[in-house]
Amino acid sequence: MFFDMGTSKKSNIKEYYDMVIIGGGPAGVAAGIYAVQGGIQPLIIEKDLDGGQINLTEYVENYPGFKSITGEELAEKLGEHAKEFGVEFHYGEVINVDFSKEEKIISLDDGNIVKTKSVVIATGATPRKLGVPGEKEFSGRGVSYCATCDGHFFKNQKVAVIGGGNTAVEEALYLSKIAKEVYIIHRRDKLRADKIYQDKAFNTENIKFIWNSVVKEIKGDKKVNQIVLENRETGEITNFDVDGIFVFVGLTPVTKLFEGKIELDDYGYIPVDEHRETNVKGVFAAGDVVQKELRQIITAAADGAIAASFAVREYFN
Amino acid sequence: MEKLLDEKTLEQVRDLLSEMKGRVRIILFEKENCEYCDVTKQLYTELKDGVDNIDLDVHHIDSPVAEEYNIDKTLAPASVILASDGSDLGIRFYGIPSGHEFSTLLQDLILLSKNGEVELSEETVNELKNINKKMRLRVFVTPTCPYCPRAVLSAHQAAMINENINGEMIEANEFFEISSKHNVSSVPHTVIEAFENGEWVVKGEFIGAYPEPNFVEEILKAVEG
Repeated sequence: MFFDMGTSKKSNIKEYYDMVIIGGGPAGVAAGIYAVQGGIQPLIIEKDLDGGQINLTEYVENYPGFKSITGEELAEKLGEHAKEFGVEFHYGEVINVDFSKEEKIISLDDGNIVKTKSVVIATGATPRKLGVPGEKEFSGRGVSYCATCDGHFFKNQKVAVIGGGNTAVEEALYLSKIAKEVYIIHRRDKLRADKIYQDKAFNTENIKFIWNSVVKEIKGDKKVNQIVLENRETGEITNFDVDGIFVFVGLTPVTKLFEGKIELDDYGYIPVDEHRETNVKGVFAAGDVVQKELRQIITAAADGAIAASFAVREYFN
Repeated sequence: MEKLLDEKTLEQVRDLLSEMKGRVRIILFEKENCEYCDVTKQLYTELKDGVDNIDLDVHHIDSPVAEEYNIDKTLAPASVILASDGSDLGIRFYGIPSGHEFSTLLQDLILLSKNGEVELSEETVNELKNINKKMRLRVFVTPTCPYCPRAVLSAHQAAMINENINGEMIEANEFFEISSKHNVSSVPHTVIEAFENGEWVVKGEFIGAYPEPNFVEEILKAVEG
């Protein structure tokens, strides 16, 4: 049992900040710390919890300095660190941005409006949907994108995990402690996940694998009870009975808000230069939301640091 | 018994709750053979002993006091938190507010110490104020769900704004029956009910933590439906 104090402290938001950072995950927190270090005043706007997607991870074991730490604890530490450093936080959701002038305007769902000279977009990403029939209908009825949130609803049941990357395999390992059987269903004949996770999964008795297969449809009545699979090699279609399905087939960047305001690539990711600046002067992007190779806590934090320290040098000196 | 909140955590809680303006009363309803009743009582007792401004009453869920607050007797532990002026603004917790929901509890204590002074936009407040139907927002959560506190807090703040609305957190792991009745398998899952002809009728539901304008939209849609 743990007790998170999370978003309890409300700040009286000011009208102006030198830098507004949208998102309180590792990218946002690092940007905040480097902004304070550079002598400017940043505000982090977070809609859920400090640490962002880290809260969804059971254990983080690849962030230097922490051999093994739970996602919750690292997330809390990130928030604490930034706050003790003097970074202000406000909990709410940004619903509009205006980057058209030098002074940028950020509007929140609680009615607050903040003006700023520089922005760091660190909104991260959410799980990508499969885009198959039945997915939307059964979302919240057996289709889930968050094992930490929903895993316990499938105690001693049979679940499918879709995907073969690090997230899919990590989440399958988490679910294997709750569910009776976990089937990893992957479109290829081998996992893309890093070897350490693969080894763990192959050595877990109740994790099984269905290779070369994709989900064509999700079926059920009140809840999911079956998925339709297609074998990509043979074309064979099979109906596979499951109680739940967890989808981890990649990410969708959270950038809808910025469409038409800054340049986005075909997938919605934000292209940036070496300073993590977007095509709009004074608007930066950091973390999972950026067009890049490796989306990890360490690369997110690095982005945030690079963006904030360049912003300080370029716009405040 | 081992403490749930160590001294460091309690120190942080004190710091957060230093914002409280008046005293707030937690009323806990418990019963026998209840897996989470004792630990919930322990949590509240540690809060009461460790922090100024918190009072705690404990009653049996079959007591007349539970009737007074319209407690769902099938769901123990149940908690009501009263505002500083003693009024019941409709804030309910069914199950233990642990994990990420602990932050919701702390936030509620602060808001209720200011007699339900919410932190929502003027527009939201005005729209929610106008609802004149008796409503109940039941937010199903798990303690490990990072998106859930925002959904519960939205429901609780709606309750603070309008006396016709009750806002309830329901810890889905503890209450299997009611969770399966509503087919809860992803959280946060908000079920919106209206009191019609002497019973609660489901009027709408949504999954996920919505930003304010969308949250209000869902409630209004349910009011009309």
